[in-house]
Amino acid sequence: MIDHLTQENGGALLKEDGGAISHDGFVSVTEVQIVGSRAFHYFTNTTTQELVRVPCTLAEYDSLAVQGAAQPSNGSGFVWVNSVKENEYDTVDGDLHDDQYAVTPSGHKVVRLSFFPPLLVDSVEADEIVNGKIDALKFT
Amino acid sequence: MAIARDATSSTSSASASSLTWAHTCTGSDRILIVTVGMDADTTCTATYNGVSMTEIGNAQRSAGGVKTFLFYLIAPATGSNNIVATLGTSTKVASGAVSYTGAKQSGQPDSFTATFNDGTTSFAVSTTVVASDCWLVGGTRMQDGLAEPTTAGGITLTEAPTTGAGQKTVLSDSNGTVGTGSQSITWGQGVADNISGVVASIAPAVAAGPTTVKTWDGVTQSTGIKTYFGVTTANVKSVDGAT
Repeated sequence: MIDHLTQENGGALLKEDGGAISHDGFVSVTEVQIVGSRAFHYFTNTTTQELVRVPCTLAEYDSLAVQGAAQPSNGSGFVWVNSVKENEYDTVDGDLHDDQYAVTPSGHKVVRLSFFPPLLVDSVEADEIVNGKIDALKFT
Repeated sequence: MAIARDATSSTSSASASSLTWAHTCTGSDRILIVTVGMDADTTCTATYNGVSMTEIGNAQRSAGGVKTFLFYLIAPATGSNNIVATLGTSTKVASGAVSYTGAKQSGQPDSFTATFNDGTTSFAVSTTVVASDCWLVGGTRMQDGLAEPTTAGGITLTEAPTTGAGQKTVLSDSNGTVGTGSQSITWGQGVADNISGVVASIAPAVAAGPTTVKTWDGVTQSTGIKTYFGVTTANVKSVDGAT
């Protein structure tokens, strides 16, 4: 269950990216709020193969679902990959960052843990985050 | 008419409440199959070119999440159009789509099974095939997609890993016709973990059968009908005036 963790420094668990988890397996997480939805188009740069994220309005996103809808374009040199609608959080860039969590309208908690690889846990029961800490080992 | 695979597509997102990608359909007697896998206990609907797809079934692990949906649409529009999967919440989601030609244009699917397992490396999903010359097609959401997923009883068509997570959605088919009775697709994942899946059988289009007519001499025939003029033809005017 702890494939991504190594045990060093007198029993403290260290993540492979160097971050620390207390030896009891709990990590501190910070609550942020879901403030709405937002949408993006994703394109691949055919020269660099880099994935590029381009914001779009929710209306533009919803228009993709109508009959005969045009497919998003970002000009020549880019190939459309997909478009997504997702939660917007009250963070600087609207993203959910490592070791942050938010309560969804259904009462579940979505958590992003700074594991290697970073782990997004969609549905954490209410009693699994206690005093701002979560048992990280349950999700490795 | 035999079923033939037309095209496949797939995509994924680390967190989305709706996911849109392109799929191109061509040919005749078309059917489009879409699988959507996610890690939340939520709802899902799908459209293609603005037309609602019909859910075949869904399954999730007993504790919720690791959920698989399978949808179909008969006679999807030809050309490149958008598939839109809409979920009840924002979650990790990965999808796959496959279109076929030569499929029956009503009464689909021929059969299906939706099921799950809370901890296995080998996940077999069986369905009881009714019609002759069906293909099996199925989607699975596996918790442990870090190792290369496998498909037995067919081939893997698409494999969509979720960015920043080990989970994968795999779309597979039988890569040919299967017999009637119990048939299955078996998926393998790296370690014994949660997995869910839906497998359906898709029936082929029924070939245009011979038309039975009563000829001038009162003999009912279905092939090689000889007309009054002695010409053998498949399209004759019968004594009652019907062609």
